[in-house]
Amino acid sequence: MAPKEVQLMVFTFQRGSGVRRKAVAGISVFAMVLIAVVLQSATARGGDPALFSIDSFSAQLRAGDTLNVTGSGCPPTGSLPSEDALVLRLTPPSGGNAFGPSLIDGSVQIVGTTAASAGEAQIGVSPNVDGTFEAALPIPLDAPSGAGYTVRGICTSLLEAGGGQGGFTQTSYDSALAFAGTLDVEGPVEVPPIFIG
Amino acid sequence: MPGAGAQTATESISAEDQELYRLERVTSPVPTDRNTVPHAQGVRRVWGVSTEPAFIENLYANPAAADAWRSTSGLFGGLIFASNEIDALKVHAEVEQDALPADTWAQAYFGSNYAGGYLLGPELHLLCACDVRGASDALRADDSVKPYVIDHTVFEQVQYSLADLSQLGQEIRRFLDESDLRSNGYGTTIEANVVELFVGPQSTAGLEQEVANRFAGRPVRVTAQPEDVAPTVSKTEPLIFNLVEGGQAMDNSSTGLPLDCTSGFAVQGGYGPFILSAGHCGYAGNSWYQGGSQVGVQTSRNFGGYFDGSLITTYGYRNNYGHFHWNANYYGESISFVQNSNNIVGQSICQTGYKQTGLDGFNTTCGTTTQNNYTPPYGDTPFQPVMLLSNYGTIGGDSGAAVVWPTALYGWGAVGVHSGGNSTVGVDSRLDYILWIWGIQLTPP
Repeated sequence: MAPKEVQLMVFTFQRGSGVRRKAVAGISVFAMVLIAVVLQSATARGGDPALFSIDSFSAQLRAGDTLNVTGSGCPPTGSLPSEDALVLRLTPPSGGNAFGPSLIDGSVQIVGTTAASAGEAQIGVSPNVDGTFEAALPIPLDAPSGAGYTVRGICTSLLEAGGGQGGFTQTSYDSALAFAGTLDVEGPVEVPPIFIG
Repeated sequence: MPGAGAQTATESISAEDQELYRLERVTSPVPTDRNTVPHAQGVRRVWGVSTEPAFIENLYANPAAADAWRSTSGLFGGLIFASNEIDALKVHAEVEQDALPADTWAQAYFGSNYAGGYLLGPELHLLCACDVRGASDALRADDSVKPYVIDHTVFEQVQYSLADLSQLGQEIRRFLDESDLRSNGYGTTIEANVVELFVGPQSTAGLEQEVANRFAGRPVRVTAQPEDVAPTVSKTEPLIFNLVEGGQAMDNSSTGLPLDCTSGFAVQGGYGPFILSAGHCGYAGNSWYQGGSQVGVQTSRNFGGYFDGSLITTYGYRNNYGHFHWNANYYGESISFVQNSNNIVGQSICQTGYKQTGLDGFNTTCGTTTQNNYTPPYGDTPFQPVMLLSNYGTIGGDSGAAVVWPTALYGWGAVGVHSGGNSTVGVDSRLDYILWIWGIQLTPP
């Protein structure tokens, strides 16, 4: 019984806080403990393989390294043309630029603000046939040291044209966004001085 | 004591002229450098006196023996001259003093065929791309022009009007910008009835041939100069007089980055002068810097609704300059008008962001506006469908930049403030909306 309740809980979390509160009120204390564990251990949205999610990670890397990112729920093809089925963006602790999908001339484009932002990186990814994906996200050389880097993703193949934000239906827009973290970027490796003499 | 206008044996220039033109003798050698003689030659040619190098050098080296004089008020072009040149200088000065009414008359009389006017020696030359017969009689009938000037006026028929040359100058400029060709600049040389392009040692190799090919048969003259006389100013360098303008790279001291965004436009309102930039670039209270000194403090942020904009008060920090940095050669461009963005779709506009165009601005970045009802997928609050979407590329650092519309006839139009985009599209806030909603206006050029 418990696994079903947990699955239900994760699903309702995806659908918004108002629905979530109603669901929480109707389940057992035991299940709530399990839910809390799930939410703390995975910052990614959801565990339902049918929904787009980025697998949780915790890493300590340096600028110039690559962060291996995995996830699921992003079909390789969608109903709208786009350059990349999946876009992953490393976001620095400061928050970086805002960005999102936008329907321009019938095609999905990722459009964002354009302030300078150290530590920000974006890559396009081709998911596997089953919707899973693996990607190596480079940590930019200008990435400042610090904790709290996150990875945000937009699965463009889940988007359907509609009248909502960015030109997509609200349901598809929500389900196409995910984030995961966290990454700590450590300071550069110190090179010992060369002594001559 | 000699009377007015009289000369003594020791005074080669009359006391009256000395007083009128505030003249003094030059008795000690005047230091020179390699530019002194060429500069003096140029000025002397216009004033109608000797351009002989040896003569000029002697005036500077042995002024007492050469009976050299100069005006303490900088008259006569600031020249050091020999006493026997005073009459020629006086004629030129008097024609120059009253030439403006004649030139104004010529502009009205010749209309669109007017080709400019210039002074050379004792003569005022008025040019027209038309038959000038009868012009002298018509001028003589005009009471606003002094007879003395009329007596020294020469009419010339030339091939090209000033409007023709101005149009050609704009074409040359666009060609240089679009082809990323570097020069010392260009100008209309009225006397020769040409557009003159100047090249220096650092100008693009083969520029003369490129221009000759592109503008074959047109009145373009390429003139080599010994130095790169056109100063270049990057978007990170300060301007003189502590000025700050649009299109410059700015640093938000709160982020730890050396450069964050680009300035949009110098604006002003009831609360004083501001630099307008993008709202998402910072928050109220942030300190902004450009060229090593503080631009001011951010006072406003709006990131959603009708626009993405911020205001940085420059009061007490910098002097607002109602111009923008186009590139390192043209870093003080004046704005002719604010474009009503309702009819900007289909027009070619350009962004001035420091990252995409480069700190020297030479990577010209323009595109066609495709929508004026675009809704970007970001914001503190959702945007209304009123943003501009164009097909020009952008990179992080461009935000806040002035977006301008280059027109051949009317100069630069101010269109928007750059907000975002990607490598193929650019998103801008409409400048007319920002000015209207915030109750501000562009700082006059």
